[in-house]
Parts: sequence; C-alpha cells; structure tokens
Amino acid sequence: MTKGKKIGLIISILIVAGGLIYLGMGQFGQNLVYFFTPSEVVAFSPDYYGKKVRVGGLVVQGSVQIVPNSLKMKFTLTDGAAAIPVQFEGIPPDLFKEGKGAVVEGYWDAEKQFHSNMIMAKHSEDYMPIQMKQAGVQLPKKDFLKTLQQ
Amino acid sequence: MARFIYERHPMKRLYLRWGGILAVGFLIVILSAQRYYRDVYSLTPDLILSRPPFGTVRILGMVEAGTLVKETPSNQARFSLSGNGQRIPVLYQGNRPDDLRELKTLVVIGQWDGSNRQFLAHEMDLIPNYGFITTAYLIMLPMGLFLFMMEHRVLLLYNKIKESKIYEPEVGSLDEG
Amino acid sequence: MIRMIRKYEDWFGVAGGICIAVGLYLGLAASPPDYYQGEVVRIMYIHVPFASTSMTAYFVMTAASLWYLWKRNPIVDNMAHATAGVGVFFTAGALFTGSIWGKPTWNTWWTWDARLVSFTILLLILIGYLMLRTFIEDKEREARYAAVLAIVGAVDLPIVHFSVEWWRTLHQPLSVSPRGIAIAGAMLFPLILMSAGFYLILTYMVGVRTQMLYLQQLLEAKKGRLLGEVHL
Repeated sequence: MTKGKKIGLIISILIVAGGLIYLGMGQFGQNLVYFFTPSEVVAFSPDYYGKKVRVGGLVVQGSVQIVPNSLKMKFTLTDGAAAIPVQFEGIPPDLFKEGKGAVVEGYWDAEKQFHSNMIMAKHSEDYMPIQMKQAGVQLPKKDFLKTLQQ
Repeated sequence: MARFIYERHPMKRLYLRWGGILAVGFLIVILSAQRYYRDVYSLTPDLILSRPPFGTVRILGMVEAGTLVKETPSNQARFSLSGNGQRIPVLYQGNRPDDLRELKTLVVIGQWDGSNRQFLAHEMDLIPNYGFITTAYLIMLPMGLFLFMMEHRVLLLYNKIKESKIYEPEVGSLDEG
Repeated sequence: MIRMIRKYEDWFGVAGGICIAVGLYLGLAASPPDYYQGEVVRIMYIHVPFASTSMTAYFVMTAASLWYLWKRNPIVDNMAHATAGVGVFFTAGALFTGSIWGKPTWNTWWTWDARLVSFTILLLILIGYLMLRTFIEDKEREARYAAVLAIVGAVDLPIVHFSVEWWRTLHQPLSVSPRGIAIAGAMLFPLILMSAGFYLILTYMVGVRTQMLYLQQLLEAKKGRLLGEVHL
C-alpha cells in the first residue's frame, strides 16, 4: 500500500467514525433539544438571560401586533401550558401566521421578554388543496402542541 | 428494422433511447411552463402603473408596513402593495382577510380601476416561488447524466471484453445470458 | 446473477421512466397548490422520493453486505458497492431538494435539527464507504471491510426515520404514519407515482452500476492474466 493510499484510508475511516461519534453524543446530544418550549423559557434561571436560544411554539391567534412604520412587531408564543411575549424586529417569513407554528431565535431577558430577529416557520405535515381546507377537512396529523413536548 | 438496430448497434439504441427521454423531458417542461403562464404568472406594481391592464390580473408585491387597515364589519381591507420601487393602493374584498399581514409578499387577484387609481382585489394567493421549484427539479438533469454515463460505460466495457480475444468462452456465456 | 440483471433491468427502467414522466407532469402542472405553502409544495414530489429511496438504498446496501459476509459471493459485493454509488447521489439529492424547500417555507437553507444532521451523517457514511473502497488494494479485504462499515453505519437509518417523531425538530413529523395519511388524494397520487418511479429507477440504476463494476473487475482480471502470459 502506498503512503498516499494509507492517508486516504485513514481519512475515510475518520470521516465515518467522526460522524458516528457525533451521532452518539456531543453536538448531536445538545441538538436533540433543537428548541426550548415557552414553559421551559419561563422557568429559565438567570444564567440563561441574554444567551442565544431557540424557542418553538404556536403563534397565539390575534396576538400579532405590528408597530407602524417600522420593522418591529410583537406576538405571543405558546406551548399550551405557558406563553411568552416575543419582540421581533426584521422581516418575518411569508409562512409566518397566527395559529401556526414558529421557531424564533434570540434571547430571554430579566424583564421576561424574548427578543428576536430571526423567525423560522414550522409547518405541519398535512397537505391539501385550499378548497378542502375551506370545507373544513381535517387530515390525521400529530397535534402540533404535542410535537413541542418531546 | 428496429430489431436489427436493437441487436447490431447497442450504442445507437442507447442514443435513440436517450433522445426519446430528452424529448419527453422537453414536453414536460413545456406543459409546466404553459400552466405557469396560465395560472400563476403575475405582474408587478410598476407594470400596472406604466401600462394599466384590462381584465383580471395577478399582481405580486409586498404589503407595505403601516398601510394595512382592516375594516372588520365589511370584511374589507385597504393597503398599499409595493414592488420594483413602485406602490399601488389595493382595496381587498374576499376570503381569508386574516391571511393579510404587513411585510408579507403575496399575490392579489383582481382588476385595475383606472378612474380611482386603485386595484380592486377579490382574491389573494401565496407567493408562487417558482424559482425554488425549478431549481429543485433541475436535479433531474445530473441524475439523467449520471445514468447515461453508467449505461454508456457498461456498453463500452462489453465491447472491450468482446475485443480481447483470449477468453472467448467467457464472452460467449455473457452474450447468451 | 449478471444474466438475471441483464434480462430484467430494462423492465424496471422503462416502468420507472413512465412513472416519473407522468408523476412529473402531475406534480408540476396538474396537481393543486397547498392551502398553507402554496405552489412551493411541489418540491415535495421530488424531495420525498429522493429521501425515501436513499434510505432504502442504504438498507439494500446493508442487506447485501450481510449476504456478502455470509456467502462471500463477489457479485453481491459489487451490488453493495453499486448501491452505495447510486445511494450517494440520491442522498445528496434529498439534501439538495430539502434545502431548497426549506428556504421559502422555513426561512432557512440549513439548520442543526436532528433530522437534517442525522441525514447528513448518512451521506458522510456513504462517502466514507466509497473512499474506503478506493484506498484498499486487496479486493477481498476491501469487500470485507466495506461490508462491516456498511453494517455499522446502518444504526443511522432508524435514527433518520424516527428523528422527527422522537425529538423536537424544525422538520415536520411523518405524513404517513400509524396516525394515518395526512396528504390529500390529489397530492398523494403524484407523490405515489413519483415514489414508485424513483424506486424502479433506483433498482434499474443499481442493476446498471452492478454490471459496470462487475465488468470493470472482469476486464482488470483479464488484463492481469494477459500481462501474466506476456511475462511467462
């Protein structure tokens, strides 16, 4: 076996082993909690204040308030048990909507406010034409609030 | 004749087959583009102002911040829609007015009212995002190329093996199978 | 085995091609847009088939590797190798189309959620597998090591599949699950056609690539013997 081939072999084994180790622990272990729920955020210890975290929840119906002539808005995010106020500045994604899921990135402060400038829309797994939706059809999907509780 | 080409010229057969696949792909592209122009194609606010259209049109733009006024009893909404540096006033009267949100890019469907210089919309649609869809489907091209290269290589290898005379019996058994 | 592949592969190719052609037309032109995502839901008809076939490809690769370790039939090893080569393409395709779907719907091309990370690891394992195969010279050892690697890497498969059910992710949960099917008929039909087409094409591509690898090996062996004769 030539030297180059040996190095290549070692690299390829490292890639796979690295991937598997990553899977088993470390980064991935943390990322299993991809976002916190509003209940967890409300119970945050002061250590978490000002730290960048993600929070996922349902945008409460009727809670979105837009500050005129600015890129600022306020809304409430809930997981069914607790609700947190979110102050957002920026352009929300087009699929951001009241009554739908969202994951916001930002920080929680001592005034019990969440500040964010990045929203990701979390869509559900049901797909249907608009006529069906308007006719009130419900497809068998996971309850959205349950997807937050894992 | 077809059978002759099939058996005697495997390479020609390969090219014929892939020509057919390209033709079918082209047909699908045309049909999809036709549907796009029929159902989804939209104008922008600046086009409306420079060349006022007749009949029902679709306009793509963003709801300007601070302009959305919802009139709850009549289920109407007024806002100005901007795009390409221009803005037009829109009077919306239709389903799902709660889908309207400031800073949201969407498509409104309706007629241009030239005398009052406003757009009367009766329906709205989500932004079509056709660029993303096209990009995603473009992956069919490398996929086809990948398969073509493999088929091509298999034929070349068969030919090479036939050319190397020394192990005739093996080749024979391959051909019969 | 090679004879069997040569005899039946064309049927898979033709059937797959027809399914994909009809599926593409239905998915791109004839199916309705989604109530919430609009037109961009059409990416689903290519993303989901890519994702599900790439996982099946890995599963087949694992099965072929086990079979090889048991029976030591070199053509089965060629098949595992071929599945990895095709699988890399399909896995990368699923990531690519998923990323493009993610931008307009989620508002991000990529995020570190469990589904995306575990799927990318699947791609890394496949790349590592193919690299390993190029760097070992002895054919028999190459096949053995690769088979072991494929089997070890298979632990990622259930993780990818169930990640969206077990953990909090940005990726939505399974649409087809014991809960039922959460896709309306008009959208399910093109999805089924495309998926069927992708499975058939996967089978066909693995068939073609298995032949390619087998013939390459045959040719190398012949050249080796020819050279040997010259030296004698």
